[in-house]
Amino acid sequence: MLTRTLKRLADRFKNRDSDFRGLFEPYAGSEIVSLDCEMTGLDTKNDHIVSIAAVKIDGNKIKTGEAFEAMIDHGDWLSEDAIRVHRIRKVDLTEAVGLETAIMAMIEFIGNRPILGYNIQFDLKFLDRYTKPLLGFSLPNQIVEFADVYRKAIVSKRPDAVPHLGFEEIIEDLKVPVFGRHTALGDATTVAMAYVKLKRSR
Amino acid sequence: MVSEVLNTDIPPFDLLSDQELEILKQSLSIAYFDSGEDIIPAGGSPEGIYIIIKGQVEEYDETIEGDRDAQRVAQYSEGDLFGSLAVLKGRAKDKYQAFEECICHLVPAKTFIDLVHDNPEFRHFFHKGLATMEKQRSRISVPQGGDDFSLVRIRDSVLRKPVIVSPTTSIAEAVGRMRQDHIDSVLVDCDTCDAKYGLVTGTDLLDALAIDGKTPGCPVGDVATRDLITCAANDFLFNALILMTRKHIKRVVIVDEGQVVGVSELTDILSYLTGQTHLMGVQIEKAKTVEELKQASKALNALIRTLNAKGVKIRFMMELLAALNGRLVAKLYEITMPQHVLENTALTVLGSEGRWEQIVKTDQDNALIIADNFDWDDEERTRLLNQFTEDLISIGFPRCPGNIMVSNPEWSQKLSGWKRTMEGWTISMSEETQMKMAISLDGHFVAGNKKLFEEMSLWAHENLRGNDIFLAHFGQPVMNFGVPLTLFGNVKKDAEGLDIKKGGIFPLVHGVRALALKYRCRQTNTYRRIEELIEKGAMHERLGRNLESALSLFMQLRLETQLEQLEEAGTDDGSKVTHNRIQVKNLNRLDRDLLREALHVIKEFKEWLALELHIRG
Repeated sequence: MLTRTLKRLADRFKNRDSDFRGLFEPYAGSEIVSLDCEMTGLDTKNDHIVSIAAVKIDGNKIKTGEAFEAMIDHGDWLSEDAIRVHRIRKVDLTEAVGLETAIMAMIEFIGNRPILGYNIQFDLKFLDRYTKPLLGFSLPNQIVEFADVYRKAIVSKRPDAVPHLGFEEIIEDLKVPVFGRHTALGDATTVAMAYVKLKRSR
Repeated sequence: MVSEVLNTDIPPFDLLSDQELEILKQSLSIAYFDSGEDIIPAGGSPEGIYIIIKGQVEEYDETIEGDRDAQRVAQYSEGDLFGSLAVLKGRAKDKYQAFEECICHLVPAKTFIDLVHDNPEFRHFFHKGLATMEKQRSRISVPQGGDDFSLVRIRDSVLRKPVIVSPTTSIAEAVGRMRQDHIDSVLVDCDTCDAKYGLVTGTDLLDALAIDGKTPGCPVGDVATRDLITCAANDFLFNALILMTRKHIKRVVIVDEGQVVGVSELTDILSYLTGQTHLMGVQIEKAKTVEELKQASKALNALIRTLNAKGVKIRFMMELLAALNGRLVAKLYEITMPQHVLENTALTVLGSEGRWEQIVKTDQDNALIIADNFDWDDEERTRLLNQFTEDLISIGFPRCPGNIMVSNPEWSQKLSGWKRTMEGWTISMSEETQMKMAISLDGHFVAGNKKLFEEMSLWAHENLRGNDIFLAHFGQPVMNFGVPLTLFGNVKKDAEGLDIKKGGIFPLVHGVRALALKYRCRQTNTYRRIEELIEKGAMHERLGRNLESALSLFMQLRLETQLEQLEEAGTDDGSKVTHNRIQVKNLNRLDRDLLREALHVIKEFKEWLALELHIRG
């Protein structure tokens, strides 16, 4: 965590005159972005990102109408495993874009808003692999781990509780509708919904 | 499975173009509300319209005096849309509150207003009179595949070539022409008069000769009806049927670009609607034994299912079934009674049968009027009438639980006895006599000597209007059951379902009946009573039309629950129908919207009726 903060400060200094300096400004608005990526597997070094989705949250609203969603075209390599987990068939990728385009559009969409996600460090590790060569830095945004938000909310109500932090278990516990499981946009929306509920319900 | 995307395949969103849908989709957000949170505060300007993904919302009118229950005017649940009126008016009159945790799609006010502004059909949907919503319903419930009668156009179906005669043609010649062409009407071409054509029917000619004292040599031009009711050739067959039903006419003149192209007869349309109907009529007419009638009757429930599946409007179904059932009962009476009984008695069907509003035969209500001077042997009378009741049961009219059947001497009286009985009812005012009075007022002649019935009916009409106190008392039961405006609130109620008869049909039918009594309407059918009340200026047309739509919806929903119950019981025996409850949560969103709207019509009607009949609420 500390290294990330230090790196951010260093990157911010390096980018003080670049086009990306806005990303390093502290965020003053009320929104937060729920982000989710789907990958071909769990190996952060060798697997690939298949799709990226992000949706903005403002107060009690999730802006589904202007959500960000990109399918990434990696050529011909989609593994059988990935197809099974994400139900992405090759035909679904017809409108896919190159990775570079997707990352730049994602950064444009998120800006300097805080990023929310479940097990978000995992997604960020994948993203780092691409943003570093592309931009020279990791995403500098404030990061909010959804599982932490959930754990704190539960413990604040019942101090002795030992919350289960599995994704399915959290969603089950919060009883929020599940939006298209195993699609990046679906998961991003579900996490957003659960986050809003934790923040808004008494 | 909850969908993150708004279902745009159902009204009203299916009215939007692809481009408009794209605008809509991009503007959407999902909003979360905690239990008890105000979604739209009263007096506030709403952010937009909401479509519920999960949870329940209640609408409160805080200007109503009383507790929360009194103020609650509506309830919305999964799939329902709310807030449109508030957005269009720019300000919410009522408060919308999350009854439990709610997750909704939100269409921003600006997007919604733009869409309403740009798309007339979409706009029309939200300026919803019930009648409009009803059209939306029929638009989506177009049956799958097969013959879809609601889409058949007149020009493609039952157009008869017009037979046109000159106005100077004599009555005798016109009759000859009708006989020659096997038709029952001719058009009279009268170029010189305002209306280009007039119409003469066989009945017109008969009346002219028998009643108006015309001679066979008189020109038909003098007899012809000038105000022709027309329908466009391109119009739907159903609209012609609606028009005929509304106007109580048996034929309409069909025009195409101002030219008369033909005539459509009611009987043709009904036969076209279902080949079976016509056959069934024939089968009933031909029957000579109770056994043969039983066979004809058996096919009726199958016919109901067919008509329902074909999307035939409930109102026509009711009239059609009433006609067939009426013939069935009449035929049975004619087969089983000796001539001297037929001449001296009038068989009358009462209640829903009398109003022509019974579809599935759930029970028989009937009565007999016996001529004062008919000396009927007691033994024969008891034997024949008991047998008649049993025969009716055997051909599919279940026994009346209230024993309102000719086999019960109380419901089989001499004319003078009936007059005394009914007079007594107006004085006694007990709940039981009120009920008897009510079903008797719906009486409809089916067989025997019609003069007896007419004398009875005329007498009742002249004498039974009673005073205001009686009317107020008579109308009171309308207020007895609350209108179930909150469709989803009570879990217990949910499990039992909503009693559509108590909550909707009864207050409507009985309220209209009380008004009919007050304004001396002689119709017995509720739709026709409403029509007559409107004509007499006793009821505002808008209320009347809304009541008609509400009744159709209630009847439709009730028919569906009745058919389901018969299906479950695996029988056609209407006595196996045990309740009139519908499961609101199983209805699709549009039907729920319609039901909610229809129940509001009932509420409005009850409030108006309480003033009209001086009923204490």
